[in-house]
Amino acid sequence: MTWRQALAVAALLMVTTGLVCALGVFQARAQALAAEGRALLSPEAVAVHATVGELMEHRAEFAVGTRAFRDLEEVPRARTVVVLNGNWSDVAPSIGIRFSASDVGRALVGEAVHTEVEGGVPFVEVAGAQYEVVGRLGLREDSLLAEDILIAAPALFDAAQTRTVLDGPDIGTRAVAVFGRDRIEPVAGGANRRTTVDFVTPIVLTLGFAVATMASAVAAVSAARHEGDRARIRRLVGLGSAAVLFRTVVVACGTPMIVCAAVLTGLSCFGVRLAWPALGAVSSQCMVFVVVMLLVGPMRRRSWS
Amino acid sequence: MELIRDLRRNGLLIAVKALVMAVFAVSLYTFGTFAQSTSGAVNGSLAADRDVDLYGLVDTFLGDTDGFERFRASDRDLRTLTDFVAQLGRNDRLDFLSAFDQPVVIEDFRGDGRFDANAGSGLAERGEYRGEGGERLRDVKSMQMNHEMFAFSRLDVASGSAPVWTDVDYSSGLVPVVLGTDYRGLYEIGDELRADVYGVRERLRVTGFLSPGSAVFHRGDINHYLDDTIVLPYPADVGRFVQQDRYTGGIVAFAMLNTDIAASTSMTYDDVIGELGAIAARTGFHEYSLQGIPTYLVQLRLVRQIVIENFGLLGAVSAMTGVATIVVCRRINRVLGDHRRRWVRICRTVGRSDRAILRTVGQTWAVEYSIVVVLYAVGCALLPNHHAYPFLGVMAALGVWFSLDAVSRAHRILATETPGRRGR
Repeated sequence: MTWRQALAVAALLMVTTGLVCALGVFQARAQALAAEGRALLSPEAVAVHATVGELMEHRAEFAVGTRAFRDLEEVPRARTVVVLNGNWSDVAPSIGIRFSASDVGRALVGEAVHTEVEGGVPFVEVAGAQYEVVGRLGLREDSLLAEDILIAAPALFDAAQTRTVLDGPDIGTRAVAVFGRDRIEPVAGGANRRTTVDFVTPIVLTLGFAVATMASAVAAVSAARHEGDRARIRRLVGLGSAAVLFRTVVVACGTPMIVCAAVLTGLSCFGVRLAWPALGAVSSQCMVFVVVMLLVGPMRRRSWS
Repeated sequence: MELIRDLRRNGLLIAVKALVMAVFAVSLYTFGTFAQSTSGAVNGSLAADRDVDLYGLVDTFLGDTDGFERFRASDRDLRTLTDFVAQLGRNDRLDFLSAFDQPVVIEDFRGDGRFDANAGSGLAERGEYRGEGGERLRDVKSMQMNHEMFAFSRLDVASGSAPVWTDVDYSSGLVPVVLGTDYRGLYEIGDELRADVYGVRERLRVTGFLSPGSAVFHRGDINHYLDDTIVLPYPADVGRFVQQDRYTGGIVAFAMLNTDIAASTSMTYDDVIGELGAIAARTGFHEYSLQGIPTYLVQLRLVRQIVIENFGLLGAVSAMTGVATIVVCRRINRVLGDHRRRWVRICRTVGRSDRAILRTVGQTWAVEYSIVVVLYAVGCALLPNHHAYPFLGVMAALGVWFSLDAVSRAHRILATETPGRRGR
């Protein structure tokens, strides 16, 4: 590739990685917002009348990250949550805070909930007991979750058969498998039912990622084309096959790495906080570039020799 | 022939370009449907003119069963109550939003457990049971409301018609009802349900079905959805109903009283109390108290905010995808143009006119644009929700984009130097 060609390829790749980064950040934010609109539940959440014993007995049959919620009768807008297995990570309860099965006696509270600080640690008092506050709910101060309290405390799950909301990956089919269709009720959609946001968001994001991926592939194809021309010349001047392949690989891997470094530096200069999904998405774009280029490059070279 | 040669040589790039454009078009269409639903919510159930202060009106007989019974036994006392309710309904400065969720008992109910009065409430469902005459009965979710509440909540029927409130008369034995959207397929418009409402046997005639996602503010929750609920209008003239059936009429009149009042945010609590006091003085009914419900306005604004914020987020995502699409398409155009340059030069050398050159390459472009339109139409058909306006809007946008694309490519071809001039 000449410098001009390399620059054109890099610019295209920069646009796609930038798009993917932005999509990743937006996806995280859209998920948090959707979770807020649905009182921290996913659209698949179901309700079942069950005892704690039943839940614990079947805990292995639920996907990793499945959790159970119950309303605390004494305190309005307070819920207890038990993570049945693994980590609750598919719906970010709050930026950077994750509940796991071992997080017992801790609480997440909204911004409007009164907390007391003892020894530098914030506590919230619910029904006569104190719980350590480990995070804030909601994206803003005045969110729909501002008055909500979420306590990870299996002890607050009494033995009675009470309405319990189950949520987690693939919960719909698994809950039906465990409890039978008759015992399962859908959970009302909260604020999100006002619009089609729960339906539209995954489609728009998926198509956005698809466009970005195809764009990366286009960048790879044009890089392979340019590099193919150079490879042919290198062959003509007598370079060995291994040396030619090596240079192609260097270009294929080097370009996305430089581009990514530039994009990430640029974004952090603008103060964009990058979430892990965004970084994962960027590296996946680079993978697409490298794989497509290495697939297309040698093929083209063969056709010219 | 040139078309086939072109498709063979550049087929992959043309396919990728068409695919990128089609994918973006489908994404834009999806966003368009979302914009439609957002504007429906923001201008309808979340509209700014619903920004009112809500107050809860309650009677003062709570815990005083004897007083309550005495009151309901007296014709004169009951008349003060019904006059109070009637005057409140006619008041211009206060909106009297009456709604109550007393379940109704339906005979031979066609639905299943999800319509049960206790479904989703945390209480055990009673399920189906046998009445005294052996008939199959079920307690079903119902919301009684007056016309002001129906209008204030921006409830609307998706099919059929809303009940005519002025004609509602419980003593006639036939009451028009609107069913939630989940009732579709179970009952038809014009069907009659045999029901027990507040202990009175009524026939409920279905006049329409609510739009999906219809919600009212109820028990502190702005998102109380009515999809599985029977909406039962309150009697137009509760005074007449009381005269005909004092026992049930009294219960209904008290149910109507225990509701919400909406007042403009410019009115203070004292203004509202003063307004109610004036009505009380005219009618002689004083057994009520008033409390503010600040959660309504807070929730309304937060829900609206979240809806708008979601819209902004998805709008930004769509815009970024659009930018990437344009960049990629221009990039592919450039490569395709490069592939064409030698051919154009040869055409020029052998003396073909620009018009003839453009006509030949235009065939490929036409194929490419047709592929985009077909892919777009198929993509939209595969999605479960279909809306005409966003579909046609995106189609029009595609038309504009195709013209711009064609013009810029034609420009590139016309700008190709003729070999003779530069002497190459």
